[in-house]
Amino acid sequence: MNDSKNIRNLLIQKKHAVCAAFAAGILIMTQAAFTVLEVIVLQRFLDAFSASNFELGQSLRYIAALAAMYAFRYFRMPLLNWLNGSISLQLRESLDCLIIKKAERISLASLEDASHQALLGRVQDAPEKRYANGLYAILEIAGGVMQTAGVLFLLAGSVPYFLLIILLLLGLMAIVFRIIGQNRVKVYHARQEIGRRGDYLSGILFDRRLAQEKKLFGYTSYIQKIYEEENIQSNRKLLYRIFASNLILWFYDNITFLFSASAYLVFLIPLSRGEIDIGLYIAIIPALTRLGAFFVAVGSEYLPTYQEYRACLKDITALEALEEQFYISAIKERCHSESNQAGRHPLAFHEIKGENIVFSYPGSDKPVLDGLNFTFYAGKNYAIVGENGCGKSTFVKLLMGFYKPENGNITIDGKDIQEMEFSELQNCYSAVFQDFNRYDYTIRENIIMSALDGVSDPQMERAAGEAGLEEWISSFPDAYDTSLGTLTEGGGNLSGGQWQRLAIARMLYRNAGVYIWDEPTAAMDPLAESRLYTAFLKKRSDSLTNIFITHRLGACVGADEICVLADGYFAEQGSHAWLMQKKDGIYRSMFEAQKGMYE
Amino acid sequence: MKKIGNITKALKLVIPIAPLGMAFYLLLSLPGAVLPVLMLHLQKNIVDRAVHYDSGQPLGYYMKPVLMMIGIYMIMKMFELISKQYMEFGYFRDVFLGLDHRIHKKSAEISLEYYDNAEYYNIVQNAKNASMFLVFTTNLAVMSVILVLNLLSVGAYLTSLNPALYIFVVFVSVPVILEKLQEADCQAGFMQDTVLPARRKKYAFEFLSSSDRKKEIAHYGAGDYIADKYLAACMELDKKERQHIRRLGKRGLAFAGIKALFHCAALFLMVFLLLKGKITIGGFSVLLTSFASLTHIFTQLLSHAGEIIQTGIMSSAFFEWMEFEIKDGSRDMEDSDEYARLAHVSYRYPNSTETALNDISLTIKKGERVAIVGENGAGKTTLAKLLSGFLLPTEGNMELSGTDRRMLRERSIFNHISAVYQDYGRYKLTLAENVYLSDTMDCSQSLKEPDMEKICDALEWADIRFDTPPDKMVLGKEFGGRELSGGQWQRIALARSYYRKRIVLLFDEPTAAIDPLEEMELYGKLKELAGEKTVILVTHRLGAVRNADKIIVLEKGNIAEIGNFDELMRRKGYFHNIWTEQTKWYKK
Repeated sequence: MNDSKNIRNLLIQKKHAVCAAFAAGILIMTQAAFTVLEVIVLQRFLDAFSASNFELGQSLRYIAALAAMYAFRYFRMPLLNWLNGSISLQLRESLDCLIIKKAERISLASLEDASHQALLGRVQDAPEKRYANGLYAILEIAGGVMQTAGVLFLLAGSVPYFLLIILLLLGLMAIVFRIIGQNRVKVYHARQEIGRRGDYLSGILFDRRLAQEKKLFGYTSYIQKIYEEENIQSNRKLLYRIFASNLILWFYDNITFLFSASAYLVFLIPLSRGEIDIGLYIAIIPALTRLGAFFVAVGSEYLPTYQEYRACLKDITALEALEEQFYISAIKERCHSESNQAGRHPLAFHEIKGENIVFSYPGSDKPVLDGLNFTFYAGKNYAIVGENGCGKSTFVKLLMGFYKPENGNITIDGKDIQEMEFSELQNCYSAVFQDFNRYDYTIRENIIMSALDGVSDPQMERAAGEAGLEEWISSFPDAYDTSLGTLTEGGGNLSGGQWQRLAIARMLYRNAGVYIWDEPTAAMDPLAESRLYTAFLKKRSDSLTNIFITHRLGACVGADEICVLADGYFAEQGSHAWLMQKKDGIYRSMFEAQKGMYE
Repeated sequence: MKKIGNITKALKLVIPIAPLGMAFYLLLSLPGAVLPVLMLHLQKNIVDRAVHYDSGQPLGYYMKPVLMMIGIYMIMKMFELISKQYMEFGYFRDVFLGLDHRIHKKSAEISLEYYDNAEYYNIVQNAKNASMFLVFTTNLAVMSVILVLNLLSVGAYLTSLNPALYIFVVFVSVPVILEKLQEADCQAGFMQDTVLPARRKKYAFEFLSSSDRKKEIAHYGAGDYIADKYLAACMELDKKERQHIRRLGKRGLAFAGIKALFHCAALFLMVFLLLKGKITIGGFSVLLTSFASLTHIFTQLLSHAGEIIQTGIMSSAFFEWMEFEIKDGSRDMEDSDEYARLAHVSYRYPNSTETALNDISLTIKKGERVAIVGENGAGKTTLAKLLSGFLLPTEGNMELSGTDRRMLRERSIFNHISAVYQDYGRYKLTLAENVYLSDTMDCSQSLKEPDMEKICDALEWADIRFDTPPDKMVLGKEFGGRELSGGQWQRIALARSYYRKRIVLLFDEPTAAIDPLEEMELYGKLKELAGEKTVILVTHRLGAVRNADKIIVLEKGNIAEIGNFDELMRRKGYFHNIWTEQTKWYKK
């Protein structure tokens, strides 16, 4: 019951939704009242017909009332569907805003957890429907209770019998609900997981990047096979759970029917004693049948739906509670306003210093970084080299504040980066990562994505030029407004190298004191790489700091300092010439290896 | 009438997937067709007896129909329970997987060109959505059999009470079919309209919810922008859905009006009959209650008929996908002394104005080691795709093993090739499966068992060693498996191509993101793997092409030079230029 209040009140924020829920409530209540009223009207009509002084006019009034109530029943369903649809739509608007706002703030570490990914999958799976259905279930139950009370009132003479049955049914319902409701949520979660896995496997077969490998190796049949096997296997685990639920429901259904059908017999007693007339006996039968159906629906439908609604609230609460590592900029309410963020100023600094840094990934006992010390001065070029998996990218993540070091600290001009606001820290840097993003949006968006405040076309064109993209971009009729990727029909497609250049242009577009190049040139030819670096260093090097992370040692030659990362710390540090003097040095052996390929 | 055509198509597609299952399902549903009439009859009996209540009758006289009714109800519900369970875990799952099987199989046949096409992904998504409806086709077919049975039994029963009412029941029910038809049109249009915004929404969400992608977004502070993209897609979806709900609601109300009108007319008819003395007060009350349940049954059954038609409309997206045109040759590739011969071949990507390759002429002999080099965008990968059979030249002639490429079956070309790509897959399966995936089919195109010995051999060859047995080791953190480093994945990709033993080897930038020591080792491995095979190596690392028999140097889609390393160096042309530039760093 401790789901946070603002989630519960989601609905209340939306006036239309409240009105719609209110209208739905009225519809359901009216229906409940009509069920009872129908009995009365019918009874009156039948009594009037049996009486000696039969008046046609009066009985026709009864029939007209009856017809109106029958007609109402036909309008009720489409109206309810309409209302339910518009309630969930309103909810979706609120939920979408809430979910995306939260998604924006969740920390990276938190996203790496498999259970959190499952949670994110669930909150994307139409939570508004579960929410609205839960609401609807509550209304239906309220309507049913009213209906029951009405029937009890009509049968005042036989109340003890009915109270007994209702109590019995309520007890049964509680048991059924306990088992089925929980089962439903478990089955739902399991189904979501099956779906997630199935989507992944099926996705392999439609992935553009894997298309060549898939076709050449011809593994479609095998993926299909495991897709089927895993589906069958995981469904088998659900089979007994669902069968148990259904069996219990079958019993419950039968018992409910037993009671409502036996009413036919029970009412023979008051009928024979003249306590009720034949009109009531006949009229009450449809009401009783409907009442029985209601009791079945409460156990099998409404309460489990309510349970799902609770689970959905719980999921959203859990989502809200996910760790937020950093505060990004303020997020607008329903965001269509123009960008109005304050201008970003790159942070001026003298030195970035790290002392005795230790870091290890969760679940791993061996630290990736272990006692790392470094000092980077403004205006210099650094190269970080080392074997695959030695922790270069981890180092970058720490430097940029994505991860917290277990031990030691990183300071900029003496100020601990942990104490800086995340966005303030990011203003120091502009980075391009090895696994950079490919945005299936326009070329312009791909470039300006790195600094969306105060977009400047000349700066964008300069960045594109520096990344060597000018000619390629001008080959499109729409130039910078060309859409890329598969989200837009007729979107252009790029090679891996072109995506890489686009990522570099993106980095260069952003004004920053430190540029971090985390192996962005893998798919680029060395010639292009060298041209890129030389041109960049020549043009912009004066006051800028560069950190190159690379495997192409040739690119390091010009760096002021080369840091060799091995065993969790900078094992060697110095200029190219200095490091080449070390006879058994790591750098020297790596350089010789690469050089050897050209001899 | 195309709609009706689709229904037969849908049935022809779905029924053969599991015909026995369908028969069994039909059998289980039969009681649902006959028993409701019996229940109605019993109810009439009960009321009739109560109306003429006589204390002289034994209790059993009144109890018997009630008990019978309860018994029949239990039996009916029992069958319902079993058929529901069987449907969900037996029949439906089979059909569901069978349809997915067809969708997936089709994806294997589609030409590579389509993978760059936005429309392709929309069609796939539409087809997947449509298959959800197709699953229910046979259910609906079974239901229509039941419908016919019901029509007969209920019809006969009602006629025995009063034939005039029967017409009204039909009148009340017929609008249901029309309603379903309208709804289906509405629904199909709505689903197709929302595929793209739904994909956009999902796409934007992934930038913020996957840790790999979010890193960059958080750094650049672009979260707001992506959130705006997400919300824009949401708004588009919301707008479409709002229209959809409104349209459905209006139609629903209109049809409700028609149905209510007929129901009221029937009521007045009953009263008329009662007043005229044509039926007794008991008969009237039975008619009153049974009319409601009869209409309900009819409505339900006819709505199934409507849904069948609905499925026909919805499934068109599925057939659109299944009928996606595929051009494939009919001949198998044979062994020949010459692997490839290209004469004035050009290639242009669909939707592109410029040719990616221009007037390419060359030959590759069997056992030759060919390297394709050039700058980014020079057409290296496109040429490799042509040579490995993925693309057909838009102009010029290309022969593979002495046969015109157009005549060859795609599959038979692939069967000769093993490859390592730059974009190799990091499959979240077991380690063993990651290797086995490269060679899963035997020569008759059916699955063969993974050869564990060979897999272990391949892993050992690629120096991949873990304590856990490869078939027990699951990879990929998202599904609770192990996460590997880039270098380890790269080696798995290598082991994968080792496992697939073929006469032609294709390396497309195989060592892009690897440290120098590792790269040296990998090139050693690649050399070992090459042996006497035909090798096509695409790379921009000129250091790796020294031993090639033939180097094809591409410049902006044209062949700039062709020859072996020494020849090209002597010529002092384009190749010499880029070589000097690449080595100058190392020559200090």
